[in-house]
Amino acid sequence: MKIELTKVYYEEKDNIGYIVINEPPANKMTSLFLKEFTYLVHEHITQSKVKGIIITGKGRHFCSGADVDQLQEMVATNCIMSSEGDLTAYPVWYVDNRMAFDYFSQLNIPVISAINGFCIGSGFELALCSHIRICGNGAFVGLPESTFGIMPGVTGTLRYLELIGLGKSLELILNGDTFYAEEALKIGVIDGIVNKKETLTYCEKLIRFILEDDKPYSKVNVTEYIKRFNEIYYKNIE
Amino acid sequence: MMEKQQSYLLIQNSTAYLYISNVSNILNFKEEIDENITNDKVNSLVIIWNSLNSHSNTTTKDEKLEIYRWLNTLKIISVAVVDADCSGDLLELIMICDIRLGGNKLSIKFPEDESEFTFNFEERCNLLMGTDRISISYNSLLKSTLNHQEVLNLGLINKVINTEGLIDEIEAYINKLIGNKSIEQINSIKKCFNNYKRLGLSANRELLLVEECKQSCYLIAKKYLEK
Repeated sequence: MKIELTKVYYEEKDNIGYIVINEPPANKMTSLFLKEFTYLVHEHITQSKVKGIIITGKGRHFCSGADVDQLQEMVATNCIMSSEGDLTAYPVWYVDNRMAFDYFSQLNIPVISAINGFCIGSGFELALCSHIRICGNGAFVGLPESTFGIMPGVTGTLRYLELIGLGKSLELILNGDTFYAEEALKIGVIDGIVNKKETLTYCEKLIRFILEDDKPYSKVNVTEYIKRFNEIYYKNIE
Repeated sequence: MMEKQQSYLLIQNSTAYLYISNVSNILNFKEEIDENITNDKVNSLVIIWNSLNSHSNTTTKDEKLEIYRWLNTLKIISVAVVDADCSGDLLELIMICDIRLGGNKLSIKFPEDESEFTFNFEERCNLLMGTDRISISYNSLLKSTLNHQEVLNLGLINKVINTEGLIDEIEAYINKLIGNKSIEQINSIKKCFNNYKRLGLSANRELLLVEECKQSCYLIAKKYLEK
């Protein structure tokens, strides 16, 4: 089964669902992408019977973030500000996007992001909503929103908090830090680095390994799954 | 020269440096700090432990609650700096602040029992260390004493700083953090994190995420209108 939209497609193969951001080379999250992505989640993925999900980007990059100019216009023209300058209403579609992203973090089947190249801003927020993030060498990740005068808005702040705690999250969000995969692994916002030519294959094998485990899948055991899988994966490569 | 065992407030380059030798000292300066925040004169509050006395347990429960409520709703960034043994009231205080910096002499002694904390210890630990990749259970922290490197590895403190040139070190850290961000941007990011601090990570997800959504839209709209 394959559902192909303009900027994203969803395909099911052997009980695994693949969500592919499809606007290479940069795979920017335009308003059309966000609409299509929300539609895919609401209408298809929530009804799916797959046992695991892999999120990735077509081509060299996972996603270079939102189209900021387009996003600004869309949000600003749909917000209501009081005469004192306070925000009194914000767009429903913005909440829908956030819910579509967060849907994955709450699933009880494994969700893995296979990341190559750039994965920043809202692209990284989507990756943060998966349970495991595997980067190809040279991948570049982070939430730089605050350097543009704004802040992450689709679960990024909460996912950072859940992964690395208050102090470090606030520091990274305020600094708008972006980093290469090695640093991201040290900080604890990704779970592994592999050869970039093998990122997707590694993730496919990892998800199968998790599904073959005797015990039911639990997000809490992610570090343990990866450790056990690597012992087999790298032994086979040798 | 600073005198030890003294409490005082110093406003320098948009940062309020509050030196304390007793946690309840904070209440003496709360009003002055609030006034500076209202007038947009400060964008960060640095609370520096200025005493060699490692164990301070003289703050009443009402005083603690007042301080914690204040810090949990503060519009600016709160940073705790300690380079000494840390336990009792002081430990609670640093666990309430947004960011913790420690010197080489920092050592944290956790109490025997979680009932000794005014707040829910498990929730605070989840908030400070995260919930997804936690390497140690909050229970195992009880009764333990950890040095600066151990608490850094657990994510309980952000950074180990050189206390020789304390103010320069803190200033460099704050400058990197705040950069040229507007007070509005800092306030929005803080409102979002204050919501997490207030509700705790076990709260309903929609309630947790509503502030991020609101503040993010607010900043985007403001930026667009400024064009």
